[in-house]
Amino acid sequence: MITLYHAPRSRSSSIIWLLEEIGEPYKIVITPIVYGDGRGAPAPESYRAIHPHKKVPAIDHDGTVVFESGAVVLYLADAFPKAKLAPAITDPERAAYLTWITYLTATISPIIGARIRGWDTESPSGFGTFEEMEDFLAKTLEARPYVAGGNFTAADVLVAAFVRFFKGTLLPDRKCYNDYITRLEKRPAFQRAQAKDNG
Amino acid sequence: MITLYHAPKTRSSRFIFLLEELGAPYEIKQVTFRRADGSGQIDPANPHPHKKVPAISDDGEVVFESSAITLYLTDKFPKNGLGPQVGDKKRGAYVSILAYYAGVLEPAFMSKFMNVAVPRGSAGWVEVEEAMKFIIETLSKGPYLLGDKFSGADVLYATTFGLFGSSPLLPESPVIKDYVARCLDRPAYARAQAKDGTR
Repeated sequence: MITLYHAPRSRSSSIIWLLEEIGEPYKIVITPIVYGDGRGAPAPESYRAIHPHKKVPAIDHDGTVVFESGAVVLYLADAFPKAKLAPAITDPERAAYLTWITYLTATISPIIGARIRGWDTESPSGFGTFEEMEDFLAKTLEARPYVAGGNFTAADVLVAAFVRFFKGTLLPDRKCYNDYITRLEKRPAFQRAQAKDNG
Repeated sequence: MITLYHAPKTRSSRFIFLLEELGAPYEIKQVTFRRADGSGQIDPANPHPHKKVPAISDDGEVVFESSAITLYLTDKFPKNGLGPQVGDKKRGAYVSILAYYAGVLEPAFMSKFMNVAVPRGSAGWVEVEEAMKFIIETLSKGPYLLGDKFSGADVLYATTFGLFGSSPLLPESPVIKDYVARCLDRPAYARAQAKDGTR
């Protein structure tokens, strides 16, 4: 059994989509968090056993705890290979797959954080330049339909959340972004997840 | 065949250490890059989109981001047991601690270096002090991040803490000091040091 620790409309929302793609039974445990605008309240101290900083997402899969978005995505996609959401370890697309999952959380997310808070107005932040990041994202999505290659993977679940949220604002209005999101929003699992997150 | 894009005495040095631990066939390609102080030239031979190090290529497929490279390599070269494989009880902890390095620890250090306060809630990471509290707690339970067994995650964390040495970025801790000494006192680390090269 899979348990998802989830806060509505947060970083854990993408994991509902992933779980819908996987199609295994799971349950959602609504977990309080402090949102970016200060709303909400921290989770009880007991939740620290699941996530060291009491954030979401985290999962418990038959007693195995996994936390951090990138880890949850990697773990689940590998654990359920029938869903074909992760290129196999011997597949050449594995390289781009692992890179994109990590790049999103380790570089894109801090670069965006720096842009929003004006940490990069005088000189690029130490996370990397916004322009190089955006150029790489656009070039990737102009060259292929999904970030790892020709097939939809679990990495797209993370990248899509980011592109959907910022396209037309921090991200320029590009055809490749619109096409990518249109392609992904058509997926039945995405639509089921939207309903459950808002639910 | 793995090609490591490397610059001496940088974050790519640790991957010589990991490749030596794995007993994997590899070659080192030295590249120059623009250092934080403005010295050094961008190297067009470097496949990294931000022209940083490290990056690897495996018969032309590129992987970058330290955590992604680590997971890619320990999955691809499992014989020396440097990372729990898919299906192993410790796989969840392994991918969590790798994702934590990428999404929490590195941005935490960079934020401290940039002298900016980490916004609670909207940022995916936390302050260095809070992250190190969790790492020290983890290392108080066993000699390595996953318990008794040295893994690819220790290559990342121990070399990072070793690199910071007595820098004010890293809060002083005997637990961390002992951990770094334990991890770097390995024959593979000595071999890697010999191959690191000079600037």
